Amino acid sequence: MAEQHAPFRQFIVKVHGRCNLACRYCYLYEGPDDTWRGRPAAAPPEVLDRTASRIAEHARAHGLTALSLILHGGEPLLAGAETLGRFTALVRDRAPAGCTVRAVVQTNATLLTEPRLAILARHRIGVGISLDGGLPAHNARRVDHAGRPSWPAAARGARLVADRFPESYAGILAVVDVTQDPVQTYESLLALRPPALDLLLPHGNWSEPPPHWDGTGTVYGGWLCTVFDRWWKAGRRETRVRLFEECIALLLGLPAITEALGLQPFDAVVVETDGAIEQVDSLKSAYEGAARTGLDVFRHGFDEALRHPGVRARQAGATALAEQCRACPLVSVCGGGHYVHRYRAGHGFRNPSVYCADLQRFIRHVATRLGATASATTATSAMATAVAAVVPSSPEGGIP
Amino acid sequence: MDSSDRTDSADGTESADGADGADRVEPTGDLSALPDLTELSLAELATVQHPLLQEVLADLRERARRPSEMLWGWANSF
Repeated sequence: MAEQHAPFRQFIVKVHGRCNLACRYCYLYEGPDDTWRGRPAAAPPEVLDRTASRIAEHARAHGLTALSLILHGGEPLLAGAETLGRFTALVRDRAPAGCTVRAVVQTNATLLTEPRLAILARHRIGVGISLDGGLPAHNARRVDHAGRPSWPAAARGARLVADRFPESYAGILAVVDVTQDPVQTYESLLALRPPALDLLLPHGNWSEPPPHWDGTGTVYGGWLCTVFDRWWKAGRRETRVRLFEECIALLLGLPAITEALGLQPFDAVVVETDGAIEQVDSLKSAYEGAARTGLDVFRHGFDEALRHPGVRARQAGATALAEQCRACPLVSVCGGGHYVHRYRAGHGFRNPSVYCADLQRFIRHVATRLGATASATTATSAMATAVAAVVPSSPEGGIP
Repeated sequence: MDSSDRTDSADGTESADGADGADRVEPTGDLSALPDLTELSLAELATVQHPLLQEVLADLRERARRPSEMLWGWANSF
């Protein structure tokens, strides 16, 4: 039988390979992989031109009706907003008719200015922001190369998007810091009025465990459960929270769109500033060269990357998981967790997630809340039906 | 070292469930079965009095209508 591959739909283009910040925990620049040092700082025009053609070629070959263009770095705004706009226009121009190109730039927000945001808005480029909370203390590890806090500039940028360009505002990504109060972290992020949030577990694995991790599920699982309850009990949807909503989708047996949970095929690919085609760069948190494919946009199409063993493993669903994960009753929801969190030196990625206990705790918590809400309504509805059956309605139409 | 030289390649094929099973990582936490919420249909859930859940379900219904446009997956961006 021919192998089935899900085409790539998310194209992560490293338009700039350096960052104006030096966050203490950065998986790219503070991790075990330093391949970025040998690459050009900014993607040259010929790399961007060739990348646009390769994306269009892939979209055409697979009849894509939509694709996501993610302008990433480093700090992508170092490439200049006009460059981002021109490249996005090039991709849209070359994409086949009927294929929608959804573009977003993921930025640390420190370089956002009104003129730059106007350029991004003109090119219909959404703005995703990376922050770890809405207070200075939450962002203490997000510093520049001189060790100065990035928060004042980042806060100014985030507020500018919220105030002046809300239609461009895609959301905020926050790396969980369990030393911070979970509810305060969530509420301070809410104050920046993001239409969506995601809470990312810090990259770590069995050989390099995450900070403060103890394997009991209390530290990270408990932190997430506390934020979930704050979100769930708000009485309205104050913002979308990707991790929470995708967990609900999976618990209901619906498809999810996150790499943090679920068994859906992963469909993202990276183009580095030198044109190298790579797997997603979070793999670099595991070991040097983990994201490498040996392919590049000048000599190879994205179909060749689909055949790479690392890509295939992330499209193989449960068959790529560890035996003990395949036997776990939560596997259809957790999906083994984020791929990079399964790594163990000398043993590869076919292990449960280092966050296994945390994910168990979190998923069961969400299931309990969802089940209780559904059953309360069902019980109320059943009770009302039963009452209505035995108690005659009052002349006013209510129950006397 | 080039990644191709490693035994722990990114496809996970050289992994703990090979010859070295005694060292394998075991899952932890509560391993009992989850309540089966997949029995709940979206139509049934439409009656649930929970505004946040209703908004989430509205998005899930919309997404189910256009599965080919599910793009929001990579964790490191929106």
